Amino acid sequence: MKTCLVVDDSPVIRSLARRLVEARGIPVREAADGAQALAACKEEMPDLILLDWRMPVMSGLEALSKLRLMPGGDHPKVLVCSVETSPDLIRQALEAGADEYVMKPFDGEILASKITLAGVA
Amino acid sequence: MTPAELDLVARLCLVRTGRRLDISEPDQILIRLTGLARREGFGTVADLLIALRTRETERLAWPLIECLTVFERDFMEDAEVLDQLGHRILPTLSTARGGAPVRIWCPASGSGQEPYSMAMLAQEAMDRLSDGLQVEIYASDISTRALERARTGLFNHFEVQKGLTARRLVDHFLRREDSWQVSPALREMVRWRRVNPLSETPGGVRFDIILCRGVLPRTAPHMRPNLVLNLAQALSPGGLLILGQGEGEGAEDLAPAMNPLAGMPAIYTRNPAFSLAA
Repeated sequence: MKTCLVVDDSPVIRSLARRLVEARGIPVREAADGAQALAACKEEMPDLILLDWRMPVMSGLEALSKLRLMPGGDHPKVLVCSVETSPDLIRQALEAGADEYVMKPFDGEILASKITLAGVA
Repeated sequence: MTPAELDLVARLCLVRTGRRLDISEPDQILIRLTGLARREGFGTVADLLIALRTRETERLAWPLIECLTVFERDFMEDAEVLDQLGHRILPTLSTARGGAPVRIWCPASGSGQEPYSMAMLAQEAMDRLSDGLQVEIYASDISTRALERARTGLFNHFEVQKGLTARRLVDHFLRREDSWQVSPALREMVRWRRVNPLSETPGGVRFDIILCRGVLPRTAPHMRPNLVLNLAQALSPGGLLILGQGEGEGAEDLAPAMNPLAGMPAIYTRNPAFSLAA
C-alpha cells in the first residue's frame, strides 16, 4: 500500500490535505516543518510527499535537497505545495527535485490530478 | 427546474444542434442558466424560459444552447492516447506527408484545453525532431462565446492545474495577473472557427487527425450518421479519427465509414471501400 507524508506548518492545510489524500485510500502521516519531515522519512520512507515551501525551522526546498541525498530518498514522489505562483519559483522547485508543483489553494480534483501526473496511482 | 422546463431546453438543443442534453443533473443546468438569466437581465431562470418560449425565441435560443452544450474538459485528457499522438503519430504522419503540414481538427474545442493540448504536443514534437515537422490546428465549436474565450488563451489557477504538469505550465504559459495565458507561439498555431460538426468543416481543407472526443455520445442517435459522414469526408486519405476512451465500442454508427486501427483503441481510419457520396 502507498503511503503519504503531508508536510505543512499549518494544521488547517495538513488536515485538508490528509482528508483529500486519505479519500484516495492512501494512509497519511504529518510533519510540521522540513526537519520533522526528514525525521519521518528516516523512520519510514513514504511513496508520496506533499511538501509546503515556506516553513519555519527548515524550508521545504532545503528539506527536499537533503531528502534526495538520503538512502532511498529518490523514491518518494514529491509535490511541492505553495502559494508562490511565479514561473521562476516553480522552475526552481522542479530543479530542486520536485516531481510536481501544486499552487495553493487546491481542491480534491487538483490534488488527484497532480498525484496522477506524479506517477502515484 | 420543472420537467416541462427541462424538456423545453433539451428539445431546443436537440433540434438546433443535434446534441443530447444530459438532464440527469438538473442542478447543473440550473446553475448555467442562472448565469445566462443574469447576463440577459432576467430575475429568474423561469422568467428567462418564459421569454424564450413566448416572445424572444430567436434572440435567446443560441445563448442558451451555447451555455448548455459547451464542452468542459481538462488539459491532456486521455493522456495515453495523446502521448502516442505526440511521440508516434505526428512524426509518422509528417513523414508520410513529405513534410507538408499535418492538419488537426478539434470539432468541439469548448474553452480551448483540447486544441492547446495539441499545440503543446506539436511544439514538443517539433523541439524533439529535426526534420521540420509542421502542424496546423483548427479548433471549432458551435458556441461563439466559448470560441471568444478560448481564443484569449487565458485560464485560471484551477484550470491550469488539472491535467497539466508543472513543467508544461512553465514551458508553455505566461503569468498574467490572476490568470495564465498560453504562449503566443502556441496561440499562433490554432485557428478558430464557428462550425457545427454535424454538417460543416473548417477551412475547406481535409485533416490528417480529427480529435472528436465526447461528441459522438452526446449526439442524438438519429443524427450520428450525419456526424460520422461529415467527419469521414473531412479526413484526408490515411487520416485518423480519434474518439474518447470507450466511445467507439459498439458504436454501430461508425460503420461502414470508419475502421478501428489495430492495436490503437479509440483511433479509426476511413474505410477505403466507403463511398463518400453515400
